[in-house]
Amino acid sequence: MGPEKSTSPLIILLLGNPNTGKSTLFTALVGVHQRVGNYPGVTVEKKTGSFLYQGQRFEVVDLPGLYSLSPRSRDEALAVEVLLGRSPGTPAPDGLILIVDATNLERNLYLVSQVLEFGLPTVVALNMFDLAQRRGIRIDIAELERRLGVPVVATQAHRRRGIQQLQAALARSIAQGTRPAVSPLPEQFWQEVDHLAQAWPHRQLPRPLLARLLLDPSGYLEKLFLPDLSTSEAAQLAQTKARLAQAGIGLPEIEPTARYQWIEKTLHGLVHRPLQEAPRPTERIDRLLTHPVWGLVVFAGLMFLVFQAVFTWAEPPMRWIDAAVQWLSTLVERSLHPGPFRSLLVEGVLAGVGSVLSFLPPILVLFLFIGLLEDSGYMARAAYLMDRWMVRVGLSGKSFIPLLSSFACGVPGIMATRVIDEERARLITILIAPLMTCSARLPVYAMLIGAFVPERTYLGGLVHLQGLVLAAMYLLGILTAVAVAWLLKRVWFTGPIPSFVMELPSYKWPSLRTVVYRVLQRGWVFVRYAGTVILAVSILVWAALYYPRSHEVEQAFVHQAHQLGRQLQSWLAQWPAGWTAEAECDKTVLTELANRLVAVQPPLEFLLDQTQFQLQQSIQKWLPSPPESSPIVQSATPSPHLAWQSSLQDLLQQVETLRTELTGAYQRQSLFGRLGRVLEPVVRPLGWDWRIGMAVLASFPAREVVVATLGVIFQAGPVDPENPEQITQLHQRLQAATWEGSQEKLFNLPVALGMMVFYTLCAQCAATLVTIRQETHSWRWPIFVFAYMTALAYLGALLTYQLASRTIPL
Amino acid sequence: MPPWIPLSCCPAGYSVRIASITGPLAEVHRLRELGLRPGCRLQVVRCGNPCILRLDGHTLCLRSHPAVEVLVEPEEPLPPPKISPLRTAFGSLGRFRWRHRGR
Repeated sequence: MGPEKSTSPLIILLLGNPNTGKSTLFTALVGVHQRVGNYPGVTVEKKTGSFLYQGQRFEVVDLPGLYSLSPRSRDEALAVEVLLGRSPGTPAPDGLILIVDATNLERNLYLVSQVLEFGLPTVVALNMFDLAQRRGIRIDIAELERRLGVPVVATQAHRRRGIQQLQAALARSIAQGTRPAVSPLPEQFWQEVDHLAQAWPHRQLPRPLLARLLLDPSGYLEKLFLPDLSTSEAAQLAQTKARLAQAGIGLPEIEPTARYQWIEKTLHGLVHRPLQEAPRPTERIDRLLTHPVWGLVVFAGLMFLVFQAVFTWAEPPMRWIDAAVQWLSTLVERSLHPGPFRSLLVEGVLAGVGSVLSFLPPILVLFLFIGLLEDSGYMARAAYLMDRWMVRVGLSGKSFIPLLSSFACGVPGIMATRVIDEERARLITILIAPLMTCSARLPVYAMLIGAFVPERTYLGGLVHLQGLVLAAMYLLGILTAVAVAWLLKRVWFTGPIPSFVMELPSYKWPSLRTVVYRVLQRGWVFVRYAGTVILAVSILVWAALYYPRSHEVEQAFVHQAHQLGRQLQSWLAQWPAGWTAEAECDKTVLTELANRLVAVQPPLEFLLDQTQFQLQQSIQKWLPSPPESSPIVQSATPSPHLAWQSSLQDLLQQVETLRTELTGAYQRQSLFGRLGRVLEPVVRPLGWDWRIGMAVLASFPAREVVVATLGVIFQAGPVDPENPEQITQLHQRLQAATWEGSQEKLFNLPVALGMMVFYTLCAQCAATLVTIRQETHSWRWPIFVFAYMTALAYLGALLTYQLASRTIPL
Repeated sequence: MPPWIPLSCCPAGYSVRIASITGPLAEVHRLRELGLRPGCRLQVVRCGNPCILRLDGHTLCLRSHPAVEVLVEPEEPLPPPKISPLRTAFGSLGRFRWRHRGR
């Protein structure tokens, strides 16, 4: 390869039917450096990459798999737009690579025949050639090349065979320039196309586009390319169609008829199939997996295994991530002065990043399984099995994968709805996906179940009540989703359901490289999309919990701080002589802090933080095991010293309590605190007070935030959900919490159940809502989702609380 | 020549030839583009709606629009339809009417 020429890269489009190994060929062509973006205005992923061949750079654009250029949706109309170079952001193509499946040339050549009409330099990649050979299918490539009029290259994309030849053929083909367009459509049809082109010179519509406009049965292309069609022009179009119909050329029927005739003629005597196709070994497996009863049994078993794996495999990394974020927060807290900036970093940025990252393990594990099942060919069978049930509530079999992904996280789930080619089923899937119990709800359930659902077992220890409640929450989400989908189908999306055609690819061993690559790609998309949203909203919520901030709040704590200072002073007074130099140094600092506490030097926040930090350091460094030289060890009666030592622990605890009380007081006067009190009458019927209301409000960026917020509000200290000690402490605090100004317990089983139902049904997730906006191109749907889910959540929690508090004896 | 029957009534394991596809224009067009064209030969792998078909060496899952009727011509005589005793007992009152409503 010579040095790169200064010429601009040539744009190559990669087109083909689904399941032809297109993505694999794309990766084989351009390597792993791919850019994933979006086409403007549609929810179609735009994958681009480039390769260098003989000093010339080729920029390859991967179009989504499609069977025909006749669009059935706005997304499918994109292919025609890109082919004609009319899609903003994608330059007009210089050449095309058409990938066809060698085992099924009949159907694959349909798209080829359509694309050849565009007259662009084209190369046909005859992929899966090895599989065809193994099945005994023989194809005369040289003759096929002659009949198609374009180069045909046999490739095996997964083994990277034939890639060089493909690149060479492409370069040659582009060098030769445009070639005459061949078309199986009748001459008269093209005459009419030319008539139209002459009649509308101002529109500058190329011939192939006019042909597609005439053949388009859906009207999507007309909307896209002729949005300003005048009545006379529309009449002209109708006249043309009528003239053609009179001549026996019915539109659009002529297209499949003429093309399949051409395909038959083209393949005649070219493809030799064995007379009796050998029964494939996977046929028996297929018979089991698609069986109406046994297929469902296997499917249920597989799903059980997947969920089991997601829970067990994702847990340790989630703990590590939490620990790492915790460690980082402590580091920041220790190295920065307290104030808005530190608080923003710790409670806004780090907390946001932490929650995004802790969602990642379950998502990646689930994606790994979905990838394996997809690549092996099983997912299409699962979609077939589920279709007959899902169609009853307006979904399609393909809705199943997005809904499954939503159990890990709604964001990738909603993004995965792109595989559903039917507009209505896709929209219903998007609207109900947030009802699936995602991993962000689990910490909330864990907290409430752990604290309030009694540990009872039934059937000799086989069934746990706590587990039963958790399962009930999952079931509630699923059943609500089914009900909502059914209602939407009945009320909103009425009308017959369009046909659904899905290819069932042959089974194969999944390629680990493809799967891992896909998992990483999807994971990265999640981090990028959800990450930015969760981070941004975390910061906003932090601000609403932090501001307005006035130090007047500290007035209420002056007395307590003063007392604490005195206690510390009296503790320091008992300091034994002859300690190490290090300890003496600590003593000086502690004395200084004690004096400042006694004098109540504002800001108290800062002072308490410093004292807390210093005490922690001292306890860690020299208190538990005094150095050898310490007089305490040599002393004959160590007990008074030990008592003196442990009293420092008590002091630390008092400082911590005061600190969290102060945080609580600050939050009370913050924007959300005030809002919570305004909203109290609304949440009162659910058995909540304003503090719970505020915590729920604050969990808008991500549901699990409520655990940390409740921890702060109920003064259990900052809660790390993975630390069992802190969790029990939180449980105790929640159990002990009372209504303000009364001895009545705030939380009980009915309140906890109501809260769980609320979190099952609510749309407290900014990232999901933003993703819905992105995928539907309108704010209407996220607003609808938020409204209906919040209404359901409120009603569900109300009903649960009111029923439970009347039936469960307290 | 055996009579034409709806594809959804064809039992699994039989080979048929597509005789005609009727229904809304866009729906029929789509099926024909996918290769379900009159005259082509296919094998029913799983019957019903959705069904699984083998066509040109490939396996497809198809759930047709309620107004689309794919009529096929069996290549061999079909066995007499199995009628479950339950359905005979309840006549047309039972599942049959349910099946053909809505959807």
